[in-house]
Amino acid sequence: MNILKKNFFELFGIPVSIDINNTELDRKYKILQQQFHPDNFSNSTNHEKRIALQISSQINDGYIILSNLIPRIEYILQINNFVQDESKTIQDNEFLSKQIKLNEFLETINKDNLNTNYLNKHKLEINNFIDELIDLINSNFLNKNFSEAWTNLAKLKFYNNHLNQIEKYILL
Amino acid sequence: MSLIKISDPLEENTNKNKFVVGIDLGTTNSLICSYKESFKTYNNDESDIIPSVVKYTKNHNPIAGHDAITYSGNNESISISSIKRLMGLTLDEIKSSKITLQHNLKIHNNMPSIEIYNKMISAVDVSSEILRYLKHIAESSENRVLDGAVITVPAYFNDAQRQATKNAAKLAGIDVIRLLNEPTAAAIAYGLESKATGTYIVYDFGGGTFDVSILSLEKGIFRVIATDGDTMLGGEDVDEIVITWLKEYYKFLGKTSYIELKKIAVALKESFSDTNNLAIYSIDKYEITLEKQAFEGLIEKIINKTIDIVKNTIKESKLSIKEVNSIILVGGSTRIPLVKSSLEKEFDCIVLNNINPDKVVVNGAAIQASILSGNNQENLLLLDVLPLSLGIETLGDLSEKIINRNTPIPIRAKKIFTTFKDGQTKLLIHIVQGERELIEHCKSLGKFVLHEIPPMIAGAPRIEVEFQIDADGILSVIATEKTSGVSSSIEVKPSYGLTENEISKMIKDANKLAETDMELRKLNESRVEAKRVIYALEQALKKDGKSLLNTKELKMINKGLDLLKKATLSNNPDLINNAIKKIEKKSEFYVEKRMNSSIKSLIAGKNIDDIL
Repeated sequence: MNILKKNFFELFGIPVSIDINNTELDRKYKILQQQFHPDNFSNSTNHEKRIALQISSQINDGYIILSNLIPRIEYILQINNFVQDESKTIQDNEFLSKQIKLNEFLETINKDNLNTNYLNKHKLEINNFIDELIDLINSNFLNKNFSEAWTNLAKLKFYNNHLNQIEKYILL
Repeated sequence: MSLIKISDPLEENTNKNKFVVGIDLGTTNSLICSYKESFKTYNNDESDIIPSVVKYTKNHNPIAGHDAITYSGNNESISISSIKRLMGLTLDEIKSSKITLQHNLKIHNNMPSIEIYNKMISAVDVSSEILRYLKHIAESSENRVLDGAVITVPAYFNDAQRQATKNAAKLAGIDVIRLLNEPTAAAIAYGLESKATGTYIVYDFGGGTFDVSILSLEKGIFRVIATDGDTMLGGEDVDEIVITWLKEYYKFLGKTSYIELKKIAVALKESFSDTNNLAIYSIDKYEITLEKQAFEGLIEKIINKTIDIVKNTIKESKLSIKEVNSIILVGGSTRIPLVKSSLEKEFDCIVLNNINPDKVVVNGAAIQASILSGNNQENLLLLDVLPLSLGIETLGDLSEKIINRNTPIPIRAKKIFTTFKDGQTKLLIHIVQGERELIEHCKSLGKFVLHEIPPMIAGAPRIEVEFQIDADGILSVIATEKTSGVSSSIEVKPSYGLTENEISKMIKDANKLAETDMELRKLNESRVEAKRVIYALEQALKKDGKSLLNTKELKMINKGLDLLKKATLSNNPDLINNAIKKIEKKSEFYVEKRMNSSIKSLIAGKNIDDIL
């Protein structure tokens, strides 16, 4: 089997799952780079150097994807050959009204007079939504219901974005 | 009759330790150093801190280093300093920067150049003179030809600046083993010496650049987590502020030359310490005095700017300052007492400055050179990151990021492009580097034209473009057309700098080598490469040839090896290169098998624990 054709979970020798053991991922990452980083091949033939460059790049790419939640979920969808029509939107009125509310919430944040307690409480609430979605996607994957997993991922992305925007406000 | 034994000169070469060095090519000063049990910094009777200055005279070759400063020949001359600030910049970028120029710049060979005695001199040329000088003093000290060098660059250097540094080394006849980021080099020197582990911030404030990196150090692995900086901020900016102050408060200096003013500013700046609070400089019958508090008031803005960058880097690394073990100071400008005290106040952690801040970078580079060349068996892996995001131009003059900053390198990204019009056979891809949204605010790295796209209806061709960043942080691009299976050629038009052909032409011109010398050199290079291929393959076969190959495959590779060995005996470099290519092609499957088998043994459960 060619390393470059392995999927990232196989490359790192860890089970395909949303939940990942980051310590274990880090450990495998370092072992792999100790073996394949191009610096180990400075006295090798050009062909070996080229292959090492490719493999090392692949390891880095895999590490970035597997160590981040959203790219990891997208990647699981990808290796299950699930492709969503890009024009598809979420048909969920309850979620839609939540979206509108949250966007309005962003506008109410007063940059000059931040109510940190209030914001932290709000962030906690959003994080709870995210946790619920992760559980849902987990069971979607177990049932091989990838279309549903995709919808839940889209929601998760929205909440994640929302949190990022709040962070921006706090830092401004 | 007894036979005289003649040893193979190549054999001798491969057995001996390689002569490799670390080079710190700084804005104000440069250093060259080798490492073998201890450090050896090369110098030319004077100090081993060599001024990054080149003096051009009308009738002589350029003079670099100390000699450029002390030279007082009768000929008129032009001195160039701080050239690092111009490396990799276009004329427009220089004009819109705050760099004060002593000379008029024109475009020559695609690069901003200074006309000196009817010759056009670029930043790459000037840097190559400094490097040539460094190489010369090291070689004459060891009485040996240099095999290679690790050259340090600011972590925040973009692709063009890195490329320019590599080109300067090539012009100087130096084989660059690796470009190494300055803060990473400093971390190597600190980390290996103190056996430190944990998370460290390297604060590198040099003559012309400011860099900060956050690294995690553990046994055998140094990993950069985040890096940031400003390639236009350094000790020279401190000097400028003091010069402005001098001109304002000491009106009699109005007619003093810039060089003299700079000398006074540097002397004042350097006289402050933890204990000395007053700087005095005597000139003619006057006395210039500057109080420490007033000085710190003048430069506070600069120091605060560096602290903001440090804060931002901590944020990017998703760490908190509590997790940082200490801050390591690098670069001559960290001798300003305000730097250390401000950092201690702001971050409330240990600030280390126990290794000479001028030498820590070159020491790290020298260690890395000895490890990479195989002279040193120390087990050390450096994992560095891309300092600035890589993007491509999309509609609306926007940059679409394809690789984000602080991504570990090497890394590659693939992108599929298609045509806009029916029958379109060419496609222009514009690559930029930087964090800003608008193309005009990013650094243009180059425009790549994809040719020979088979004519199809708009949107039908699928052209896969692969962007590969290597371990030096340098970009290369490969394009293939997927639907037709035709691989498209790619034409590289760097916005800055030289193409591979121009470099080899310049090397030829610069060295003014006779054709035969070139041929000899080529032959020698081919032989060395052949030797390396033979050695690498034979070592591999010894290790796992029997377990990974069947008799037929083994025979085929051995036959190829024999052919290559025979070819090395000839005097024809093309023949040798051909044989190298053949054996590399033949053994491709074996190399891949080896890589795969090593990954298998790594991943196979219990083996991992054995390795750790």
